Amino acid sequence: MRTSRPIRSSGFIEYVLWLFTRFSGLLLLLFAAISMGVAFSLGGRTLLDLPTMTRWVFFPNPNHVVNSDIPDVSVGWSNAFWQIFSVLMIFLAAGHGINGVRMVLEDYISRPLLVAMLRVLLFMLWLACMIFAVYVILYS
Amino acid sequence: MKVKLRILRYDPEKDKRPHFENYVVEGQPNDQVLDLLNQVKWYQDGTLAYRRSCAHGICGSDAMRINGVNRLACKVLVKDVGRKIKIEPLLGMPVVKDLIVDMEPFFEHYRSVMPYFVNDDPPPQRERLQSIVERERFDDTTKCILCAACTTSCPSFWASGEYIGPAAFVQAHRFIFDSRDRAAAERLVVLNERMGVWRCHDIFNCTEACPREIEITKAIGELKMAVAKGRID
Amino acid sequence: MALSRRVSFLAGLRYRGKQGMLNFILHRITGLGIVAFVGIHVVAGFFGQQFGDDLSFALNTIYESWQFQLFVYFSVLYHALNGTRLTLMDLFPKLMRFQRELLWLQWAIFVVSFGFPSYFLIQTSLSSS
Ligand code: SF4
Ligand code: FES
Repeated sequence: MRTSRPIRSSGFIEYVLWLFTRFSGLLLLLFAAISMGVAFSLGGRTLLDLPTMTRWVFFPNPNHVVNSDIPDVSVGWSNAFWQIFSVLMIFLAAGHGINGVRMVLEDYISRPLLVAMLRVLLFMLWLACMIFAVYVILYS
Repeated sequence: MKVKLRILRYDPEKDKRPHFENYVVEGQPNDQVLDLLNQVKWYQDGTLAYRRSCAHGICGSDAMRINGVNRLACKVLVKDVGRKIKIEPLLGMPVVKDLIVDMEPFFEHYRSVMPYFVNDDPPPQRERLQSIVERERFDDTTKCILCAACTTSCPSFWASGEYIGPAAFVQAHRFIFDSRDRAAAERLVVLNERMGVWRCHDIFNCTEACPREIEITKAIGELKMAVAKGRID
Repeated sequence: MALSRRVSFLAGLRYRGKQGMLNFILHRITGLGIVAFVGIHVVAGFFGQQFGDDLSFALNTIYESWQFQLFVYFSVLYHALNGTRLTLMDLFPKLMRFQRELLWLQWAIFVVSFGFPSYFLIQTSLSSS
């Protein structure tokens, strides 16, 4: 109780990404559970095998799960709710993954300039992922 | 009982690279590994260099890698590690000679967290009182002997020498959670640096390595929460 | 501020950490694995849709084989469970006192939730092929 909030030191971003990693991880699990549950309730109980299930869990988009026999697959899923859901999921997953790669790279590459360049590259990769994902989800 | 020692030797003035040398010594199951090193140095090869002082696990001089893990040579008995013992210097700090490493990088991080009592309030009549509960709060982290076993067992420290490291976190914890201290905020700023607490990935190598059995990772966890919340509770 | 690295990756691996270190290494490997195969999958899917070339179909065939699914499932499940354990410990540092017990609990959950689905997966793929 004796301290005020620490002034932003150079690790503020590090802290934000640390938090992001934990919470995106938990949220992704929650999302996976939701899409699995909904896939079941749409009648997938007897029709889903493990690979199809994995597809649902990762990316519940009718585009992605083409050959599962869930009835009404495109009707049930291509509304605004699931589109936002999918975009959010990709946002979290890509962020989580790319930040993880950054962590590993920073640990094993010791040339500061190279690390800085790779960071920019990763950030652009993340942007590209997002644009691509939004395009696929909204326009196809 | 014959005990085989395999010791990583390196003299930067003579050797190109570190190399192992084998020694066979007479030992009892209850002997410390330090006793065996002494036997080698006193009776077989006087050039062997290692650091030791108290031989009772309280000065923190003789942390080294014994059979692959960081231990104090004076706290490990022959019966704990068997008859073939591999001894190497601590990882991640420059070797001065044989088992002696340059501890300066370690102490640099130690100093960075202000490991001393700060309180500019006017001193009370007698002493600064503290309740039993308040003292209990940081009891675990007062036990550190600065042996560096934890910091040099941490993959984050191996990856970058800039990482503040578990031992310095333990010191920070000891003062931050002391109800008489007043510099917690400044220390939290240091811990929040890029190579601060956020580089801890809960690997528990430090907790497993600490000869004083301090719950280091737990202390770091409490520090993370303190930095995140900006307060101590 | 230059990063100074003093211990090589391999020298670090030689340290005999206990379970925690094993979990750390597995967490990184499975994490990088997931990034790699999701990346390959996305790229292959894209090229397959746009140009329909053989390479992307070949990649997809590998990706969809049951052996690979098993591998993916292992990585995802392991990474998820281990990540949950780490997050819980970070949020409630008191739990760290029981870190060894938590590790065993995690392995127990893992064995059960990896074992059953993969048993059925192997069974169906062996009988259908
Ligand atoms: S916390 Fe334990 S291992 Fe680390 S320096 Fe202190 S006594 Fe040694
Ligand atoms: S010699 Fe003092 S701690 Fe081992």
